[in-house]
Amino acid sequence: MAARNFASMAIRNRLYCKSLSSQSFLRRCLSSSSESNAVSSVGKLGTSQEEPKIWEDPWRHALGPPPPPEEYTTEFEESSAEWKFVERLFPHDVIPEPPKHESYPTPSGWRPPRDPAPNLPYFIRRLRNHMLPLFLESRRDQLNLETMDYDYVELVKLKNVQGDVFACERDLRAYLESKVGHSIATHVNELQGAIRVKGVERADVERFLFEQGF
Amino acid sequence: MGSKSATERALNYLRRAPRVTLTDVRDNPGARTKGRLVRKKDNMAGQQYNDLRGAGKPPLGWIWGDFYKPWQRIYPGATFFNQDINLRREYPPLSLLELQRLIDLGWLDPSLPIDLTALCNTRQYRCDPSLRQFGVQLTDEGASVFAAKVNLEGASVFAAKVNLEVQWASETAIAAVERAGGVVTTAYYDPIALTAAVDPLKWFEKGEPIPRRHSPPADLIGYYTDARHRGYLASPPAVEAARSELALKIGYALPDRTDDAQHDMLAARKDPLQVFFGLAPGWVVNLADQTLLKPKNPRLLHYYSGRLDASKDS
Repeated sequence: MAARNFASMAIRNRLYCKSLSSQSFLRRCLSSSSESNAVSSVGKLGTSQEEPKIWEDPWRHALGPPPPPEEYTTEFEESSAEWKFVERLFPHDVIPEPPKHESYPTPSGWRPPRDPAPNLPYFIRRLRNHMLPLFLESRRDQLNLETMDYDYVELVKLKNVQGDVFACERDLRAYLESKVGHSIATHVNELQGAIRVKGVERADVERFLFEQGF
Repeated sequence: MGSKSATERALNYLRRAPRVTLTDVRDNPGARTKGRLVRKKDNMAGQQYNDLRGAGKPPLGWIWGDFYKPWQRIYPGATFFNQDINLRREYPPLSLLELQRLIDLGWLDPSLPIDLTALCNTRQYRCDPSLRQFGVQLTDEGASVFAAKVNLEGASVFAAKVNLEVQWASETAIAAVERAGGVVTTAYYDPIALTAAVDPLKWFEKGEPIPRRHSPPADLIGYYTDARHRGYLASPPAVEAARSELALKIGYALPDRTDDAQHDMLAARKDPLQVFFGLAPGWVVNLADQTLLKPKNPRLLHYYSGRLDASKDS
């Protein structure tokens, strides 16, 4: 181990010396060129001192000196006239207040919550973005033995139901079955105040809640 | 000076560039994609017995053989089975109903043109360029009720006159917007311009100049030069003709455009090189002093003006 380290160190040292020697070689070239230039300049006045010899830079001798670097202006003009267009590009930092409409529902079907709250045994609190707490869920159902693939069922989940959740579910089911025309399945999570509905569009549930005044 | 070879022109360019360091050399966005990896949990999906054995499905592309390599990686030369899976473009959809809801709740201002930047600034719509998503796709959900002019509550669903700039639009969606008196344009944003458009504040904070938009790739040129798609590269008379044609086809009366109050807003269109309204490419935004820095270098001005004068490179 020690021997190997010693050997690798030796190799490294040799390489270092070699590089040093090559550097010294270059330095000698450059210094010699300067010396020779100095010598030549002493002898002949009028020869350029910067011009390297052909063996020092044969490419320059063949192609000629490189063109001078192009003048690159980094000047700019500062103006604040267009700042209003930049301000339009800033994102919303806070949720905006919904504007006052002349009549409700708005073209997309939205209504503000009724004030005071409706006199019902349950209450559904809105989200901070003024929308109703309706979410879409895709839950894995049973395995289909023919295709050997799982069937998935799409549900609408209503959250934030406070008070008598079962009463809410009863009213919701009655309304939706009359609207949709077929029976629907619901599941109540009493502790979390959530109702899952199968077989309806989210917009239908939203309409029921807006009509109730939540 | 005769015509120069590409190598000579490249060398000349390099000689004149102010500086090139390792930090300047980087991939274009989307040049390298990491394929999705099949993970150990996908094998059998934990079902090793009974009927459920065949139910653990591997990801798409796995045919047979090495479980951890889909078909397109085993046979990269096979074009017929998802060879271009890493090159496909996605356009996250936005329905007319969602758009109307955003306007109703004050997220969007219909008195200003609505483009991808305005939509992303609401934070209710998301477009991620790093996932090969290229912009807004306008769908017609909410337009079928509009055809009847009433919805179940008795209000017309899509009533706002808007100036929309999207990246993809279906025919019925275009018809619904134009029927209400609005304007739709489809425009292409290349990945770098899209990164700036989707989050302008983040782009300005980098100190980068506003990028210029490049032309669409070959397979999208046909889409954006077609007046039927209201492409931004189509000629305005062709777009007008397509407007009337669509009205005849679907069967509605085109509203007359004599409302001068909104005419300027509805007529506002971006230049094909422009990313933001009112701001030219090449300008640097100074957020601290609330000013704009405009370059004077003729080379930069030439680049950002989009002229195809090749002699400038040699």
